[in-house]
Amino acid sequence: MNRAKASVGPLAVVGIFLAAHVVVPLIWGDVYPITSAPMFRDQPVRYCDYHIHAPGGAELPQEDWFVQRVYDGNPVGYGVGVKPPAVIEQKFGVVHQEEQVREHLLRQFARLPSPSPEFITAEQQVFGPREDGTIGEVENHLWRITRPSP
Amino acid sequence: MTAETSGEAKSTSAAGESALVKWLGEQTLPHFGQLATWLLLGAALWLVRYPFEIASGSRLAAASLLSWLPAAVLASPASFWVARGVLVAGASLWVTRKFLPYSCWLTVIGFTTLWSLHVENSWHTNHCFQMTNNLLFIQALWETLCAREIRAATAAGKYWQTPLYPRWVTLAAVAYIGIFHTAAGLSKLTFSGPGWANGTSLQLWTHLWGRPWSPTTWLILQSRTLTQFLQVVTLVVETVGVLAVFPRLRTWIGLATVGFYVGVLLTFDYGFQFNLLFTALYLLPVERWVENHVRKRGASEVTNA
Repeated sequence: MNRAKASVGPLAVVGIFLAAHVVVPLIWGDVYPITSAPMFRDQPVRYCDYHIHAPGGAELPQEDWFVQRVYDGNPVGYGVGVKPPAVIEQKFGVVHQEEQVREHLLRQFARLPSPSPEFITAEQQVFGPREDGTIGEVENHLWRITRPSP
Repeated sequence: MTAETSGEAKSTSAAGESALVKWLGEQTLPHFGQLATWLLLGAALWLVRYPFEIASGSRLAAASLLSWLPAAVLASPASFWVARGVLVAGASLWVTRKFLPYSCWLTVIGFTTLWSLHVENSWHTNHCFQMTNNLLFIQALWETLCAREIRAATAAGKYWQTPLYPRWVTLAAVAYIGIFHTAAGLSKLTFSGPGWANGTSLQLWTHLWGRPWSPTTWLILQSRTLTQFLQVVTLVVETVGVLAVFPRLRTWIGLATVGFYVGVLLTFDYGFQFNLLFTALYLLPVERWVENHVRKRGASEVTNA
């Protein structure tokens, strides 16, 4: 081991670097390469999957109806530069009521190029804890939603 | 307090500070520092082949240090290629110890730019490369702040025989890794409270994204009690991460954090391999093993001579 010439300069630079990793997330949030490491900071107790079916029963692309999952463990729209799609699940774990699902899908009818189906069937699968200590589907709802007249 | 005792106290305090600065500046042979640099450069080059995508949509607030750049520059595929080129050029020069310390900063700038472009052009992100990026920055600081000594030793052909690696480099890396994990723990505590560790949330994430073949996925999905235990341990280990700056706690926190990453990688398809690698490198006693190995090899060479 060699004793180096004592110098405060390098330590001050390191101090500023480390302090930035404490202060920046508190004031501005995630600004890469600085992060508050927010992954999985939420506490969901249930979650929903949505499927949209055409009148004949075929499943329609989730992306067309904005019912796909954007959430990947990180808070939606946090620490990213592009606004995520306006999906129904803006917050993971929220179980929307029928009225909210209808409102969302009626908005999508207005957005979709015609001809859109005369009606769709929306399926909401709710997954959550079961009494035996496992996770599974605990509720399933089917709602028929008719295309609004122009 | 008299003027004399006050003066003594100041002098003792100054001596203490000076001793601390000297202790942090103590240098060892550069083998561990060089190993860290090679591993970091390997991880940095991994990013070059990352399949970047440019998402469409309206822009949000600043997501990176580069958010001040015009939107057209941020969203240009050419920007990605330039950043890739800078990264490859910098890393190639650094690994061959050419144009130091400028090649180090070329590498850091290329790497930071590349992932910043990804973050700015995405509505998805992950935290797989922050650690590599920030540790590269610390290595570049070492090469810069000790550049004169490193250059002299290299020119004399005695790079490997000269103590050039200051203690503050490892300590800065350990402190950064600690802050990174403590931030993760505090994020959970601030956002959800201690109730975060309820067993259900991790079961839900595993139900959604757990590797179907993994035994850890099966275990988590079968037992809420076990899952709650894992979450409690995760919360504690992450939150106390910064205490790894204390050498007595470092290996224990290192073992627990490495265990956490092994569990995550076994269960989920997340790219935390480099976080695992660098947590193990700095928090487990790898530096001591390397130093012992170098010392033994030196001793056996002297004996043989």
